[in-house]
Amino acid sequence: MQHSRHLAFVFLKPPYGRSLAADGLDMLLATAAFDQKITAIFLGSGLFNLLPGQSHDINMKNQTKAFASLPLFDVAKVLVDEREIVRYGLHVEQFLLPVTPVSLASVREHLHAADHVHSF
Amino acid sequence: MSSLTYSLLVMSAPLGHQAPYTAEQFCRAAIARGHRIFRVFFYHDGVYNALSTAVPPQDAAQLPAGWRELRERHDIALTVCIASALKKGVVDAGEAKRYELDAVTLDSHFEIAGLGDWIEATQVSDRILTFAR
Repeated sequence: MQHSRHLAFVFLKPPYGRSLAADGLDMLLATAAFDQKITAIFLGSGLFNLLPGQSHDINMKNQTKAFASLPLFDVAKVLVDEREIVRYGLHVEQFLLPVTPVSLASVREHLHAADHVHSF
Repeated sequence: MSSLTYSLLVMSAPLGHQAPYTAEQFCRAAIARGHRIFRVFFYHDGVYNALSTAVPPQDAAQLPAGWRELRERHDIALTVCIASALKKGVVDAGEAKRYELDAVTLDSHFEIAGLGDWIEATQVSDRILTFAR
């Protein structure tokens, strides 16, 4: 590949109900293997992908280990919509991995800074 | 206006979702305005666009024919993600043989490849567009 790009991956959907978040994560990890700069952004009920304590027994694959491994793949920034943390009554320490709460204005700046945006 | 290179990520199935129809029409509109489509990548439920065995109702849009024409007339790469395709039953001759399946279900205008082909598209394209609803 001739030049590295900055790619943003936005997760909008919860982990269960449909497998969009899981396929988004697969694409993110494959992209990380090609040494691209990656920003992961979790908005709306996409936040639930980053919570521990998910059940294994509803015939949908549990992806929490893979999401927790994002720092191992050099995903520098894991951003979470700060309003949603409050809205769902969560705390920043509850997540599977270190996350940075950000305002929507900041999300907009990060999206603007990326060469391409994927949303799942 | 300068010419741009686009790649499209299609993530939903035809019949029941508008997105793949819009994606196919976007390809035609972009080409008509002098832009280049580098690749259409079918991921997630988008792999169902590549089924050779789908028979759409006669009064519905003939999307399979639309994709085939884009391949034949405009030489657009129609690439199907192997991980998504295999688990959903979209297989070429090689995969059918490997897994001892009775049928080849991938339309011959499409090719099966890995996510690396999409990542290549993100490298060489000025714009990527996702069609997912």
